[in-house]
Amino acid sequence: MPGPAPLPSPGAVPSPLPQELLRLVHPHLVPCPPAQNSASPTGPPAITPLLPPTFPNVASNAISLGGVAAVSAFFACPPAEAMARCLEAGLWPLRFLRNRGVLSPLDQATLLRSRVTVLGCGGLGGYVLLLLARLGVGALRFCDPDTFEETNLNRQALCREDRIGLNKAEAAKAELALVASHVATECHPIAATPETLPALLHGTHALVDCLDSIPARQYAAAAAVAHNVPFVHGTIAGWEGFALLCPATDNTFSRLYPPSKTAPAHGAEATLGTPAPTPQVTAALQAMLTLRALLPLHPSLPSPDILMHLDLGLPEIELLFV
Amino acid sequence: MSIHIKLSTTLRQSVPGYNPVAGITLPLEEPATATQVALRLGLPLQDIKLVMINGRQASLDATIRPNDQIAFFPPVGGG
Repeated sequence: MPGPAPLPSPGAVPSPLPQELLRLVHPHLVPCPPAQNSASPTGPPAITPLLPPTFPNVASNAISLGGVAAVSAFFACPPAEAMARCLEAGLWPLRFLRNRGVLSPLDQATLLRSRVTVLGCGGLGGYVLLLLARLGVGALRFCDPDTFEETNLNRQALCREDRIGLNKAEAAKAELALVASHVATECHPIAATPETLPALLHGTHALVDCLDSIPARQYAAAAAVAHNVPFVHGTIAGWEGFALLCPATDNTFSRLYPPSKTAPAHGAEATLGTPAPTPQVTAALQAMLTLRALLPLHPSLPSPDILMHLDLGLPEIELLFV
Repeated sequence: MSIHIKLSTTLRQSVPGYNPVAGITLPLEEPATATQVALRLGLPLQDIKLVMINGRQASLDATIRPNDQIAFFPPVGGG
């Protein structure tokens, strides 16, 4: 089975923006101090001055939402691609400027050109979607057949009193449009099953497991390997959470939960519940592992094949080798 | 000689008075299997999904030696 389209390789030479475009976006440039450190060795070489003396150097500026809209119109491309082109020229979108200390411009451009599929939009999925959108992932596909219930109000980021009874995936689409309108969203109010997973995986660069049953996770992990897509597992019970990145070529998850006809559908969460902080922190671990899958050369992201065991009651994060 | 044991989530309820910070220190003079250690603690074997010995995944048949650190986990499926 062929995998998704390859992510752009970092380290390419910066592509300057046309002078005509720079004049157009000039009112939307905001001065900012140049980056003091190289966030990542995958970053571009030093930016050559792109502007005539009447214009400031792009490396000393960031571009606001209005400027991104102008670049998008100029190139007739979606906003996420417009921001990626700005970054390739060394010009940071203002909305991602606070990512600059840990991501290089080309890391950020790679995220904007990435598609991630998130299975489940409840406790873990709601936070994962918001984190990936704020980090700059440009395309998010997500599914959930369930509707919000009052018992979800204790922890699910997308659950509000006025959304009780609404489909969770539809709510995610509405929330993402408010938080990050540049994200290309694909909303599927369906379950992840062996029948639906191939289409959910098509052309995606990472699959994030925010499901709520062990057999569904087993299907998803197997499908990810079959489609050559990295799999980011997450699960919670009580104050404890677990997160694991399985490489595209190895279903590490099956070592934790081998296929079995007697596998339980649910686990310790049925007894201990799922209090608010646990999905939030576990989702953050999953977001970091998703970044690792999308930016394999980044020097400071967690490694695959290590099970992260979070215990907020102690608190500690333990690394376990599977 | 002893071993150090940590329990996760619902398995803690099988050992009255379990302290998650301290875990359990158990005397062990002779090598034993993870199953034998679990039974000595009164853990329900059918509820154990993962065994970690010194931070690495192992099976219930694996041998535990003095000074080892062992952790037992039940299945966890919440999302």
